[in-house]
Amino acid sequence: MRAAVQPVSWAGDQTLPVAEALLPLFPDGLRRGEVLAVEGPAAVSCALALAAGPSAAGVWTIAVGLGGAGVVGGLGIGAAVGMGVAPERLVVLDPTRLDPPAWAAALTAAVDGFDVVLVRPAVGVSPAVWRRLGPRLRDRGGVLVGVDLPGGWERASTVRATDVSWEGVGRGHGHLQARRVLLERAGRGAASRPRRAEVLLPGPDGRVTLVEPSAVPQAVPGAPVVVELPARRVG
Amino acid sequence: MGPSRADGPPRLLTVWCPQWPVVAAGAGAEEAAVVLHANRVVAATPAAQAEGVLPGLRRRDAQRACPTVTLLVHDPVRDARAFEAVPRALEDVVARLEVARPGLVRFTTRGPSRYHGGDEALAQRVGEVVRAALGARAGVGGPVGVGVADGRFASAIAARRASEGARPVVVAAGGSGAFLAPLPSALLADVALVPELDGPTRVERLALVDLLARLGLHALGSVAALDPVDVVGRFGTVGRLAHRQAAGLDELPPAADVPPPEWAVGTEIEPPVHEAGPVAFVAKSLADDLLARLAGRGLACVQVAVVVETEHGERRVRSWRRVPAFSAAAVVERVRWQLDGWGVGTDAPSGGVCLVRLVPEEVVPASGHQLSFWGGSTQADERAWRATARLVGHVGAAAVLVPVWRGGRGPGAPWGLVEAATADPEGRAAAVRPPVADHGPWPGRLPDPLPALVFAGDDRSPAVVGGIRGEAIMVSGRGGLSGDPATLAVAAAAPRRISAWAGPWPVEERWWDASTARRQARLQVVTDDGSAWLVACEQGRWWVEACYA
Repeated sequence: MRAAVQPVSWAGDQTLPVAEALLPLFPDGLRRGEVLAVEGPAAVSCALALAAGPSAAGVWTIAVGLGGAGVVGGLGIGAAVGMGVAPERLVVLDPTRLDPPAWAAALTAAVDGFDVVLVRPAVGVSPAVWRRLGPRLRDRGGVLVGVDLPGGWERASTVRATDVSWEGVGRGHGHLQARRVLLERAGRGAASRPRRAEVLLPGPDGRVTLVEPSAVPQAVPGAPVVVELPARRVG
Repeated sequence: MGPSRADGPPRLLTVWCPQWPVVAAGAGAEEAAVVLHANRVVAATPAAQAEGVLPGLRRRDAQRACPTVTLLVHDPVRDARAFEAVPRALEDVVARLEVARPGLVRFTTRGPSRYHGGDEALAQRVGEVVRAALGARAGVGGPVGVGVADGRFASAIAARRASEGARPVVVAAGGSGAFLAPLPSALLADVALVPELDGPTRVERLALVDLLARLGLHALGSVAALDPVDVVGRFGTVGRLAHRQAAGLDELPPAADVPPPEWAVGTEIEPPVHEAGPVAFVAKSLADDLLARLAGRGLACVQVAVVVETEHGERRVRSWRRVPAFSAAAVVERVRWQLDGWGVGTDAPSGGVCLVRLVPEEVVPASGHQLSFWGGSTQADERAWRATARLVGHVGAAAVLVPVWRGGRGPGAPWGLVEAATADPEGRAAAVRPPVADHGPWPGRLPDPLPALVFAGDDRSPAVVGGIRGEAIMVSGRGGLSGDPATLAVAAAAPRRISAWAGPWPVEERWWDASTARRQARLQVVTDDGSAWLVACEQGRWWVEACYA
C-alpha cells in the first residue's frame, strides 16, 4: 500500500537521452541540472555529440562562443547537424564583443530558456559567475556542457578525449574521414567510477560512432571498467 | 480594360493621413504634440517634428528635444473610430475600399478612374472628399496624401510623396519599379506605409533594413536587382516580401483564384446585442473556425471582409488586409475597429447587431507561416523563442544567430547563420532544409565529416605553412604544393608539426554578389597534437578556414 501512494519519479523526467555511441559513458542518459566538462582536442565535437541525443528528442540547444583558444571562430553548423543536432532547434550566441558582465547575463538567459547549453567560458569571467549558475541550472533542469573549463570551475563530471588519431589522410593523399578517440568520463559521486569508450568522433558520416561495442565488457558494480582497445588501424 | 496589366499588381489609389494617431487624439494644428506607446513616440505633429521629435524616439528624449511637447496616450480604438469618417465619405466615390489601418485607406482605381475621367481627376476628387470629411483636422498631422500607382507599396509611397508635396502623385501604369528604384531602402520598414507589417514582422523588417544598409543596398532599386533565389536563401520570408515590394510588385503575387463564397463563415446573434464586446466574442469563434478551415486546405488569409448587420437591416462591410496573414486575434481586432467606427457619426446604427459574417477575399498558400514541422510548437519551442528574444535584448541582434539552409561550399556549408531577430519562429523547420530547387550536390564542397569550428570572413586567422627546412610552402598556379608541408603556425601561436595532410583542392567560390568571385586552394592538415585544420591559400597567403575541434 505504501508503495502505491509513494511519489513516482519518471527517469525520463530527470535525464535527457544520449546518443547511442555515448551510452557506455552515460548509461542513464544526461542528468538534468548537471554541469559537464569536455576537454581535449575533440572537445567541441564531444560537446556536439552530447547535445545530439537531447536535440533529436525535441530539446533546444544553444551554443555560446565555442570558438576560442587564441583564434576566434564560430560553430560549424555542418558539423553540428552531422553530429545529429537538429538545426531548427539550435541557437548560436556569438559573445565576441561582450564584456564579462554582459556575458554572464547572456549565459543566465541561455540557462533559463534552453535545456542544453554548450559554452566555452569567455576570458575574464570569474568562477563566481559559474557558481551562481549552478542553482539556476538545477532549478531549470538543463544540462550545461563546458568546453575547456578552467580548473577551478565546478562540474559534475569531465569527459576527456585522449589517444586522438585521424583516419583517411596520409602525406598528401586521401581526406579526413574519421577521428578515433578514447573518451574517458570521470567525476564525483555516482560518476566517480571512470568509464571509457572508444569512438569515432566524428565518424565518416559526421556522427559519433562506437568502435566495436562488443569489446566493452559488462560493468561489474564497484569495479573499474577496463576496456580492451582493439588494434588500431594506421591511417 | 484598365491601365494595369492582367498579370501585374493591381492599380491602386492610396489615401494617407500622416501621423493619424495625433490627429485622432485631438491635437491642435500648430501644437507640438506626440502620441506615446510603450514609452516611445508613435506619431508626432509637424510642429513637434520641426523640433526634432520623430516617431520612434523615447519619451525622455522627446521631452529633452521639445520641453513643451504635449504627451498623448496611444489608443488604437480611438484611432479607428475617428478615421471612420474617411472611408464613409469615400463610399460616395468608390464601392469597395480596403482600410489598411486607421490613417491609410486604398482601393483599385479601375472602375472609379473611368467614371471620374482618369487617375489624376480621381486623385484630385478623392483629396477634396477626404479633406472635407476631416474638416479642421485635415492638416493636423501634415497634408493628406493621395497617390496612385501599381501595387500597394508603390501606391503608399506615392501617397507619402503626395503628402510632402501637398498635391496628388500619379505614377504611370507599369512605372512603379522605376518610381521606387532611386528611393531609400529604409522605406521598406516604414510602418506608416507598410501597415500590414505589424507585430513581430515589424521587428524583422527593421532588422532587414539595417542589414541591407550594412550590405550597401541603400536604394530600393539595388534591392530589387538581387536574384530572388538569393534573397530567399539569405533573408527568408521577410526578405522575399520586401524584395517584391522593392521591385514595385505587391508583397504577395496576385491570388490566382478568388475564394469561393461558400468559404465565408457567419452567425446570427439572437437576441441582437448593442455592445461591441459580445460581438467580438462571436467574431473570435468565427475567426478561429475560418482560419482552421483554411489551414486545413493549406491556406492562410491575407484579406477578409467583415460584414455586420443590425436588426433594422443596417449593414456595414469593410475589407481588411494583413500580411503575412491574419491571426484570429487580428481579425477580432478589425471587427472591433469596425464596430467602434460605426457607433459614432450621423449614420450610427439604430438597432442591435444580429449578424456577423467573415468573408475571405484573398488567400495565399500557408507555406512558411504554417505551424512548425513537428505539428504545432511545443512548450519547449516557445520557451526557447522567448529566451532568444530576451537574449537579443541583452546582447543585441547581431550576436544571436540561427542556422538557415544556404547551399554553397564553405566549411560551414550548406548552412549559414542569420540573426534570430529576423527569423520566422514558425518557419524554422523549412528554413533549415533545402528548398526543392536546390538539387545539389555542390561540386567542390568539403567532404564529410565537416569541421566543428569555422573561421569565416574577418574571423579567418592568418597562417604560415612551412616546409622541412623552414621554407614557406605555397600553391602553384597549376594547383600543386611547392614542397611537403612540415609545420603549421596559426596566428601568433608557435608552429605545430604536421603529421599528415591532404589536398590541395582548388575551390572557386562565388558569393551571392556575382561580382566578387574567389579562387583558392584548400589543404587539410593534421598536426602532431591531434588537431586537424582546414587551411586555404588565396593570392599567396594562407588562412585558417576551419578547425576539426
